Amino acid sequence: MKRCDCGLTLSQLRALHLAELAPQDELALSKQAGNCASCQARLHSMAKERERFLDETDILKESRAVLDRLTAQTSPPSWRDKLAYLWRPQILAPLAAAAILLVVVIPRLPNQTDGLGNRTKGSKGMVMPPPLEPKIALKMYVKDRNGYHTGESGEVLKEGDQIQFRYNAGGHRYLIIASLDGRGLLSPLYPDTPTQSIQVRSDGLHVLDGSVILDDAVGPERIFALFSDAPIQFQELQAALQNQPNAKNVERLDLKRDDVDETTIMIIKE
Amino acid sequence: MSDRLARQEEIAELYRRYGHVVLGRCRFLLGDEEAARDATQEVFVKVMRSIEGFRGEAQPSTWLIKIATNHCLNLIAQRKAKWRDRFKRYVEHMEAGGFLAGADPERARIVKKLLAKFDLETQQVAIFYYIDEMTQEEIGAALGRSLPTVRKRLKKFQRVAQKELGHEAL
Repeated sequence: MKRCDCGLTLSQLRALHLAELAPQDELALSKQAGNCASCQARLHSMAKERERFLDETDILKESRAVLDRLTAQTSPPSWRDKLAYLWRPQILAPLAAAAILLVVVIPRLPNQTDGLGNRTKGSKGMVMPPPLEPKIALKMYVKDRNGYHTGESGEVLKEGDQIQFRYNAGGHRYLIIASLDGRGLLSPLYPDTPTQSIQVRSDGLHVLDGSVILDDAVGPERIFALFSDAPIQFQELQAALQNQPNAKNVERLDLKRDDVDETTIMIIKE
Repeated sequence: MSDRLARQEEIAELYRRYGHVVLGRCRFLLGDEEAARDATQEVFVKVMRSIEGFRGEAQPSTWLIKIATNHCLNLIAQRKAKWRDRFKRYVEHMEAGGFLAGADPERARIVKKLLAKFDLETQQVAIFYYIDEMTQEEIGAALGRSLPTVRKRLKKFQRVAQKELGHEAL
């Protein structure tokens, strides 16, 4: 290993740059570095890097994000957390509005009888607003020979194109992604083995580690992303697929679990 | 100041002082700016979790660099998934250029090119030795390994470097 001719290492220079040394060491190393053009250049490079970092980085935002991650990782979701999901403003407000609608706005309907004196409350004319869907999302970013772009469902891609995924778990804590090809073959993507969901960050838009390079198989591929509050086994996806009338042309896996929300992206490989 | 605000300020101070060093290491190893910034946040999470265990036997920057290096190497290892029938995964970031402030660029390039051939610990030893220019003793202390073990890892790296790139590559 070649060190600088003056004998100073990058670690020492870094300590000098960061003012980590005891005063007498700092004095000695500063003198040594001061006589060395290479070390001066390296110190200058580190100073420029710090300047650029401080210019480009919103320190408050980053520190807040770190603290959020720290807090989120220290406690697993309890039943209260899961219940708390229902009390989020984007869930609660529409539910409250729906409740008000039912109680106040919808007129009372005449009770119906079955001829035996038993009365049944009518529900004719009552229209329930659809439940608010959590804002799950799976976004696709494509790198091809032209560079990077945001991918769209239905996009035509080629062998060698690279896809990176970003997700919003919409409050869920687990994610499993699988792809279904034109032959009806389901393959795991995240995780990449047929095991169970990976744990993810429950809100905000985040990058999934790793990327996928497309192989030479052609035809349509549907990518399913299933977000849940408890892990989903890959076998559950396979079972759901088998229950579909047309396994090659499935648009929803539909696991019949209350804690699961699903989204898909279609790509066409040529 | 509330507890949360105090912690946030503690993290902010770490970012101001060491953020560029950590991001630089993450950027160098991961190659992708967004991945590097995400990894930087994760590194500071780890730092905050283990800060009370930092015994001060090394410079704080050495400790931070070690956490950042390990985190990124683990990320890279996780990305190298087994071949799948339908998709193959390839980590292009290992080929991407990555400037590391203060480091010898040619040596950094060579080390990065070879990293993928080794286990995690050998990768750590190579980075600390050739990039951070730490002594074998310092590496042993940083990794909690004996000097003979560090030497063994280094010799393994050097053998492959010589074979792959010719003599005197490093």
